[in-house]
Amino acid sequence: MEEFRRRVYLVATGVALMAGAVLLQLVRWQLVEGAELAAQAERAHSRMRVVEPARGSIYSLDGALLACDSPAYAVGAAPREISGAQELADRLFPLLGVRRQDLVSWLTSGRAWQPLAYDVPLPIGDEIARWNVRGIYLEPMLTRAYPAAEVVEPLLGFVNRAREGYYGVEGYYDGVLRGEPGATLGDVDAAGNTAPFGQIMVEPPKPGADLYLTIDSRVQHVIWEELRRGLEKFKAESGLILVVQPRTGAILGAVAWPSYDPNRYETATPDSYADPIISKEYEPGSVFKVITMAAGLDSGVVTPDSTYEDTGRFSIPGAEIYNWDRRAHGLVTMTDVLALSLNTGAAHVSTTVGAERFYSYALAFGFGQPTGVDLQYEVAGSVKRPGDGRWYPGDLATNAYGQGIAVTPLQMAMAVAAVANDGLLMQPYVVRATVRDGQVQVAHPRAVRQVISPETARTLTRMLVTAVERETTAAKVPGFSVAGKTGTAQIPMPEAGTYHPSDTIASFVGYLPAEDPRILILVRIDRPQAGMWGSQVAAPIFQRVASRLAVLLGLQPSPASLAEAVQP
Amino acid sequence: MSADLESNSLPALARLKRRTPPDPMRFAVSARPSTLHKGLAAEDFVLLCGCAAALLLLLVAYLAQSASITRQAYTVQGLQATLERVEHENRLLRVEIARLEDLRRIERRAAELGFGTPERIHYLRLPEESSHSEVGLSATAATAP
Repeated sequence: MEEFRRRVYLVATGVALMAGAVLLQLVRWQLVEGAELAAQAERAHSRMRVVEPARGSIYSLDGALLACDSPAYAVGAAPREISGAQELADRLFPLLGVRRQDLVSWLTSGRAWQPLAYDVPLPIGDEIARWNVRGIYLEPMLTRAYPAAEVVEPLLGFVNRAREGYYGVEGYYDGVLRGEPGATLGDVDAAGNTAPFGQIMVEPPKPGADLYLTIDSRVQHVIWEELRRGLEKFKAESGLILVVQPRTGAILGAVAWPSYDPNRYETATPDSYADPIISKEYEPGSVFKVITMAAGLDSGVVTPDSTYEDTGRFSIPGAEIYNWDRRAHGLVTMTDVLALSLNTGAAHVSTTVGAERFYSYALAFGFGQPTGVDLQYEVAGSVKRPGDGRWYPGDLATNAYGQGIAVTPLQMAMAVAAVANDGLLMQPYVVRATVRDGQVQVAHPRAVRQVISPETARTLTRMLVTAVERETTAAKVPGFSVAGKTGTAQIPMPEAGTYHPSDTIASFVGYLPAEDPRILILVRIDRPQAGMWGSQVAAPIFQRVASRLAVLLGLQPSPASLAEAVQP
Repeated sequence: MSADLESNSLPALARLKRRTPPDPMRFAVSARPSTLHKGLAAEDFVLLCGCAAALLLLLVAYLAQSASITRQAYTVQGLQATLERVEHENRLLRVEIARLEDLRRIERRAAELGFGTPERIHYLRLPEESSHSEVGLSATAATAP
């Protein structure tokens, strides 16, 4: 009896312990891990889906669509589920644009998952879906489409697969264009599909803002065509054309070659992504004489009729300077210095102005610092100055004609545009308006500073008109007075510590109508093989571009020039 | 069992009898259901049927409502899919329109149709009063692309 009682107690204790354990576990599930377990249960039968927002579109000033989202499919495979990989590869490779042997290798890899192709057009994806092949999956995706392709590059930049914008407008305005993702939460069935009558909470995605650029698609088309024609004619490997409005700083057009197709950015070399208009420095050559002369005139050191004796050589400690034609031109005026593009004359002006004032003008014109344009990856350029450890007295003379100084094409264009704009330097910009939820935010032109007086600017404009009329007739535009300056820069070879013996950068910057400048055009052709001078290579391209744009933009002909140009 | 009873002694029989004592109410209770059935049949049966019918009606209404909600949910889902599809097509069409409006394509097409670039640019000088006089630019100058 005692034994029986002992056993009963033993069993009862065991049962009590088990009941206690169960109780403890219940307490743990209910009170300690209750929230987490509830969330797990929720996750098991409901699913949160992130909804990608539509990226904002980009339009030109005249309303042409330059970039927008376009639907497509990402096609992937589960090789473990696939049978008949060879036959499937035969059917898929013509549609996906993938090599057959790659497809076969992927489909027979035995992996759990293998992406096959992205950006597959909807009709092709739909056809593949109709096959209903086990192991092939299609996921809708948004891809970025650029209808004008390489014509707008590298100005626009591109968007990668992770939907991140890089370079140009896409990079600079990535945060504005991107928008904010939304989410859906709903019950799912056994197959993982959202149940139609489940409770679905939706956080709608906020689409990105649309951008309207200052770029005119017609201007862009014209300068693209003329650049390609010019590069072919003068057998050059690269070049660019930039068109700005001097009064506002708005960039009307910008093209560069080599370019790339942003629809297939992954096939381009990374070097071609950078926009040479803002990201690559060069020595501007004689175009910089405009700045030197502006400093001389504005500081009162010279006037258009000031003279000096050109012996064909200019000596300064550390530098021996010659004219491009190695000739002595005798007694010449400052207007002659610009018209004949005399290096000795430019050095005469810069040394007369003095280093401190010369470099303060260079900085005031915006050199050595980013312009602040709304494009990604702008560089500052390089201006050596007394006291910075890199400057030598000879630099004052060579900088005067654009050697030993590094600028971007946009800096050069904006500096000359300041002369066209009565001495007022404007900040360049490419986005005219931002449109979000129907609200339009317009960007207004922004003045940076008054660099030279309006009188100096007008005087210099007249000198530049004379220079074109007298010595650069290839740049003359019938019906219009053109102010401009050629440039022929040697190309430095840093590894050799010298300049390339024959290759040059030929450029021309000019604006019209000179009496009321509406457009400024900068043409730069790199390493032309058929011709080497700015007047031979860049000036004729400028003339063709200016002639076409004058008609396109409806510029009013200059009265005096029109009188010369018209036939009786 | 009966053999056992017969063969057993009286005390055993007596114990068996004690275990199953006669219940005086036994027959009365067994007689009650038939009496109740006959008494409630007319009213309660109708009531019961009414309740069952109402319950059935409610059930059918509930099921019909659920079916309707489900059907509408599927319709909404279908419409959402259609909306998404139309938006996609709209995007594709926008891209297609932009490609068709590309100036390079239009120039190519114009050239195919026999159009060319102008060789001379004509400026119309608008006089203050009457007739318009047309003036042309000099040959080289007027060459337009």
